[in-house]
Amino acid sequence: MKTTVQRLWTLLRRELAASRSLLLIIAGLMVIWNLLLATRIGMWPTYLAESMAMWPMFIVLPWAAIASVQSWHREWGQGSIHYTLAFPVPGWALVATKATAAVIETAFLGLTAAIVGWPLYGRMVHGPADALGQSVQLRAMGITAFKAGVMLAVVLFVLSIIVQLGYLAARAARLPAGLISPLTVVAASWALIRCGGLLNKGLAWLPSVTFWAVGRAGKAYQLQARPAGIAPVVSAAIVGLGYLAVTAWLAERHLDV
Amino acid sequence: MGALLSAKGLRKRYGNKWALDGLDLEVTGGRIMGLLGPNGSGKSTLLKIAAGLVQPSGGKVAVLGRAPGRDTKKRVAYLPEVDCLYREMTIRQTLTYLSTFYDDWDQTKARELLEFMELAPETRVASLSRGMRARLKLVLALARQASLVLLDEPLSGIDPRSRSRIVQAVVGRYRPEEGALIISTHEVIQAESAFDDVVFLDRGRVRLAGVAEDLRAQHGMSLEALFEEVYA
Repeated sequence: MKTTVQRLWTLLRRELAASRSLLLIIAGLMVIWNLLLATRIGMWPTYLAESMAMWPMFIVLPWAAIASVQSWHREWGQGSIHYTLAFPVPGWALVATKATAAVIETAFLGLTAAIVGWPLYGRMVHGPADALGQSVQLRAMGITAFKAGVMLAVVLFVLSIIVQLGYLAARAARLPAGLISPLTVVAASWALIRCGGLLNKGLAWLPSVTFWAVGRAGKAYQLQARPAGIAPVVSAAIVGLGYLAVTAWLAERHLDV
Repeated sequence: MGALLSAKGLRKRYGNKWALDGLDLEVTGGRIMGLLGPNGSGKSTLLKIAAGLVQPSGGKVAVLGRAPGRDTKKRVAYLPEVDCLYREMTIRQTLTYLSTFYDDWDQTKARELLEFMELAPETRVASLSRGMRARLKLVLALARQASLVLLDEPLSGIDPRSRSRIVQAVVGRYRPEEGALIISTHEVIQAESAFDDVVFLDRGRVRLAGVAEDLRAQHGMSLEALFEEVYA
């Protein structure tokens, strides 16, 4: 007998496998983009090619939304929705695995953009970073990247659920997705901000996390601590769980295939 | 034995069209039922409601004594009419994937069915012909020890020469002992030997129903001829 965890893992693996080709194509385009920019160094104004190497990172936020819609859309397009919705799994499992896949795919693209672009945009930060010493900067960057990554993953997960809610609401209402989906996403985002704001006040007692940034004190570079409250992220996560319940209910009880 | 599928005054509306319009039906165990009717008669909608894929607009429906939902999905096997396989997978991966979700999956039966349908496990689904994909869908539905098996146009896409062989196999080797098998089709001529019971649907209602043998005797004709007469 298969456990719930095994079933969730199977759903997640299938989601990732279905997007693999597209992700590899985008990663390849990022490499080509950076190679192209590398040939422009010295020909273009200072730092233009270096700063353009960071552009692919802007795909990160929209990708979580695109991947979430694409996942459901693909199910309907290839007809596999007939099997997916016939599985005896709870609706939250379907929605949560699609959101998790969207976060993983976004992380993959974000890391790819960061790694392949580093030889170029890294030239802009080599000076200050080198002044701090390799071990200090690596440690600080690692810790900060981990904390920021966890917080960003939570936000992307919630974003994915809101987008899925928009898509499934249009499907359930049997009305044009172009009208219902944006309205639902806007309304859900507004409610997230309002409810999150209220929760945020109640959760103000939660501790802050410290990010490290390279700053200047006079002429010398140094690592500076920048505290940030985790209450907004926790509030978003709590509201996101509510949206997960609603989206799961739609997926399980209100869709017609 | 109680009804495995029962519908009372079942209705389903799409826009301003009623796909099911007060349908009454009862399916008991150990039987193979033919669900016959022209396009738009409500066959697929009824099977989708039983599989938990479509929500009824009115009336009552019970699968294994419960409203269709997560619990009934564990015991209902469904073959969709549409082409719905995972194109990025191989046949083996498709079987492994689906088997994860069902405790009643029978691996031995799946292997036997693959052999019978002449499907090679390592073949990619994307490279299968329409007929082979139809056979694979049959494997996926019949490889389970489900209490209720719903086959929506299972012969569609399969070449006429193989249809009778497949129907005979379904009747002979994969006949449910306690469960029921519902086959929706308009390929009556090839499938009629399989049916114990027959229900003719028309515009979302039962037009004629009964034991297949009795209907043949009463009307003095085959089900195929009766189909032509009913929908003339």
